[in-house]
Amino acid sequence: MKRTILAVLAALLLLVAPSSLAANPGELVIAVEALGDHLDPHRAPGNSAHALMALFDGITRLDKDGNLAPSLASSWEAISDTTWIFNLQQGVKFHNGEEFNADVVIANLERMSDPNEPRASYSFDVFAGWRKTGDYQFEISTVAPDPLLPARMKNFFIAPPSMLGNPKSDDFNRHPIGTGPFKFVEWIADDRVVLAANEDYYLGAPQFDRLVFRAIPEASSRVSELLTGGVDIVTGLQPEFIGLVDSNAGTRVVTRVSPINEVITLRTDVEGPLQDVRVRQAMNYAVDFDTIISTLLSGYAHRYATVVHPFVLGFNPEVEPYPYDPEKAKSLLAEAGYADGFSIDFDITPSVGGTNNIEVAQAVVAYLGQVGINVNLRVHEYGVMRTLVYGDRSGGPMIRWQWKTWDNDPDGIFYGMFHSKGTGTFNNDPVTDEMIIAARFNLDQEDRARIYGELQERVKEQATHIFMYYTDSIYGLSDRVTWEPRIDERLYFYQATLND
Amino acid sequence: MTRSASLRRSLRYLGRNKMLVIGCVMLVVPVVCALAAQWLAPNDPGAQTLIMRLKPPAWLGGDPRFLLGTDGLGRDILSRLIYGARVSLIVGLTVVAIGGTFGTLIGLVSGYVGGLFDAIVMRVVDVFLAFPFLVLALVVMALTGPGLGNVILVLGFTSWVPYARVARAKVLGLKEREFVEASQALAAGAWRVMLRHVLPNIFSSIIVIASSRVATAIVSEATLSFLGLGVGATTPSWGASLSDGRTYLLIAWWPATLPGLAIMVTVLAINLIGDGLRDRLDPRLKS
Amino acid sequence: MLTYALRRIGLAVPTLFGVLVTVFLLLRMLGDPAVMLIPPDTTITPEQLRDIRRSIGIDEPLPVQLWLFLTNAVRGDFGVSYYGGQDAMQSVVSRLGPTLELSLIALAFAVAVGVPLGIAAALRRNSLVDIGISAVSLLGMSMPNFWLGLMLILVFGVQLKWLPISGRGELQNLILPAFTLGASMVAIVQRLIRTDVLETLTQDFVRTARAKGAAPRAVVWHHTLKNALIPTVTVLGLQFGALLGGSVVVETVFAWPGVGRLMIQSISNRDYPVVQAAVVLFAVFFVAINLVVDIVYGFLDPRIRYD
Repeated sequence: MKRTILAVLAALLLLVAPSSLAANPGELVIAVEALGDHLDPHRAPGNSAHALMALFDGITRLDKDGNLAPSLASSWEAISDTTWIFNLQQGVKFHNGEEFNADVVIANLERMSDPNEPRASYSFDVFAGWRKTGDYQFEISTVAPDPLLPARMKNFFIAPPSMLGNPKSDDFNRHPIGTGPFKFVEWIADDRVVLAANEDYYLGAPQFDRLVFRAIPEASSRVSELLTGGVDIVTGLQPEFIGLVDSNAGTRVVTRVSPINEVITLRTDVEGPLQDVRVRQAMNYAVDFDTIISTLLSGYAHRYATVVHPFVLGFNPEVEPYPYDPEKAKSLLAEAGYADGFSIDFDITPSVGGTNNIEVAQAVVAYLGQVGINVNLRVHEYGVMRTLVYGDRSGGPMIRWQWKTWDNDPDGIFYGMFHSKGTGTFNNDPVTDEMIIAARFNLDQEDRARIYGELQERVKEQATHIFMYYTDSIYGLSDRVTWEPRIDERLYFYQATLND
Repeated sequence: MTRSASLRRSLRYLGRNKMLVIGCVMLVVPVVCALAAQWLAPNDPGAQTLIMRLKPPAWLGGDPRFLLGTDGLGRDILSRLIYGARVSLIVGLTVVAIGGTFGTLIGLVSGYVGGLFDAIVMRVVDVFLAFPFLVLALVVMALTGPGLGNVILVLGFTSWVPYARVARAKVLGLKEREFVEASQALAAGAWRVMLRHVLPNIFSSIIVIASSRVATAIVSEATLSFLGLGVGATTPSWGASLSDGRTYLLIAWWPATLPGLAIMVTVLAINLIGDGLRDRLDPRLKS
Repeated sequence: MLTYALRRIGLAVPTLFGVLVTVFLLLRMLGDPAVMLIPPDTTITPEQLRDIRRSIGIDEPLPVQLWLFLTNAVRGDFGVSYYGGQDAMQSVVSRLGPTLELSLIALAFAVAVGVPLGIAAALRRNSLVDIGISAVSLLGMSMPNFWLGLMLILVFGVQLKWLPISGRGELQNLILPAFTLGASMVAIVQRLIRTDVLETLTQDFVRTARAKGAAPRAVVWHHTLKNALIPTVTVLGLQFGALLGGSVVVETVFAWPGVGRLMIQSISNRDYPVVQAAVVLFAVFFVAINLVVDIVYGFLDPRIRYD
């Protein structure tokens, strides 16, 4: 008996002794909360986008600051209000040696628009048609003038003809082939995606050999791995950990503002006090977001007036955030006939709203309580919440939600959360609708910027939301890595370098 | 035998059963906290002092107002621990009460009635056992949302199976025994037979299961919180505090470790009591 | 023996049918999976939402869906993941390896620690040693898994840098998660063994052996343990199922790519085919293990008759 125990102990010690925690030279390891469910670039996106961006190229792309840049299309132009010509890169080869050309693009567009699969993109409604106009040129026509068409093409990842049979998603899961800077090596579901440098990348090979995405769901396990050198980059760091990561030898923190707009939707499509604009304005005056930001968010968030970041097209610096003014809130409520306040339901899920969102919601509830609004906070599981918002829309009059600004352009957020046909809209203001449409089908960027400038005044005054803030995305980095985060929070490592 | 003699005998027995004694002594603190939380707690367990977030315990350089430090929202950990005893014990006891009552009744009736009813109940039991508990809990909690009541219901109605099985097995064994047959011969009502003669006979087994289940329920509540489906953001339960505090474990050990210790001590105490009771009540073990 | 086994398998049919219907109906209560497939921050039209519903086969009336599900399940076809289009059952099966590996090692650990502790406690019943052993083995059960796991990560990973923190790969990666999972089972094994040894010690043949002058230790090893193992095997069979289910938390903390994580993720994504496949596989496993346990029971205790 005793001998057995000793033997077991000895074996354990052997295992424990010199475990190799140090990083492998030439290998960059990124820890994310979850990997995606598949590697088919044309299917409904999960969290796969990061690996897909390394494996595939889009027709266009956004640079790290969110500006549109050439990718598989080297140039493009609108030859009429509704027709665009794209000129393609020549000499691009897929990882398996297949040639890239206009036929390949057309074949990809056909597969991507198949309504029999949950799709990665729903932009196809604006397309009137597409056709090949040369070996390295194709044309897309739209149903109306679409200023965002070239930006939409960034989501169109191009796969080689040999993989386009439908349905053959599983081929992608086993061995995806693209033109991107990294080639597929291995995918172990919920564990890791391993990629290798594509030495023949048409823009030149990446500086390092292997790129590994690891799924580590528990936040403190991710940070622990960074601190001990098990991984090189962690995402979604909480502000509380900045000091720890910065003071640890060999790691540091980088931040970048997030393009996600944090709001509380105030529904006017259901009977109740929120149908009075004065009540909605009062609620905007009632909450002290500056204090919330400096305490609960450790200062890593920024107050702004509506949902247009300073770096987004049409940002209007003259529209200022609602100041914290509880007296004004009370008098507006009194004017509206709610001097004694009212009670209201507030729906929220922990998964939407970024850092400490439940705590922030509790603070908002407390502030609204101080002006007499008795808010009943209801916390939901994510899927249930999504059904409340996008499905049967049976949520309460107050909904905590967020929406990302894509392409540094406010069309998506304005249409999605303010236009009466938007998937995330719970209000109906014909004036707002009209302005959004005027900017949407308009190829004159200056005119669009002007309209969005006015739109910010309009939506602030309408106060169909409690406008909150946008946060900073915080990343922990090993000192061996040189890398800059992208504004759209996608993880892209072609330009990253390792100094081993 | 006089009352005092019987009491003396019990006390003497208790003296011999050290586990029971140690368990009871360990349980005094949480029970007192639970009963007298409003007088013992130095602060309001829900009051947030945002500028005092994550302050260490007083003797480690924290604020003297917060003896055991503060959590991620600047709430007093000591007060939350004291109120948390109430929540945890309520969870443990009500879960067992629900599961135990429901399970025992089902098992009792099933074993006594037999036939088709028994067959159906046993198949339901099989389905329950073969169904991953967690899936059931996740779905039900997603539908009902977080909350103390919902946690109790979920844990209660997923824990009835062991009681039902034990109760049924015991009833089947007792059915053949003379005194039950005798009462049946006297044409006593079925319910009366069960309550008067069968229930007391299986009571000790049920108590033994129940005592270990109280502990399991307290730990399960913490696990549900970890999966984001617990008692909710405002209820000061040990499980929720532990789960919320784990986020900060790398920079502040106290918000997670202290409720963890509280759970550990309480669960240990209840388990020791359970073991003691088992030795006391399980007749097979009487030497 | 054979008829007994066949009858037991026959009884498993209604159980599995019940599991199939229950999981199907339970999941449909969770709402519309199509809303989960809308790309993030994208406006889609009601027609497009209908397209999504049709493409994943949830536009049919519920009874039709249930009938299709049952008839396909009988043939082993559980459909494809809404997200990746992979065969649902294949996804689950591919994740079974890591979970089984973790669970078996944890179980082995629990038995290796729990059995000697249980015997020692029984031999010194009601002494301080007994209480001490109880307290020590109960520790693992008294700590929520995730707390113990995080503490171990902190001590052995971050502070001492002895062991890897997360993921599956080297043998070392198994130590912390298996210890965490196994710790919660030590008490179960220890208490079972203790009770069973105590019970057996009072039985006639043991008394006889002792009266004949056999040393207590030898008696325990030769007579008691074999008998004590019977109920222990039964309970462990049942516990193995609980162990599989309980590994979810450990898999999350240690980023272990097992079936438990797949299950909770698929529930939160509303990827119903995958959840259904996982639940059914779990149920089959459970039924099979208990069948095996019953038969093993028969080998260990020849007194049991299969009638």
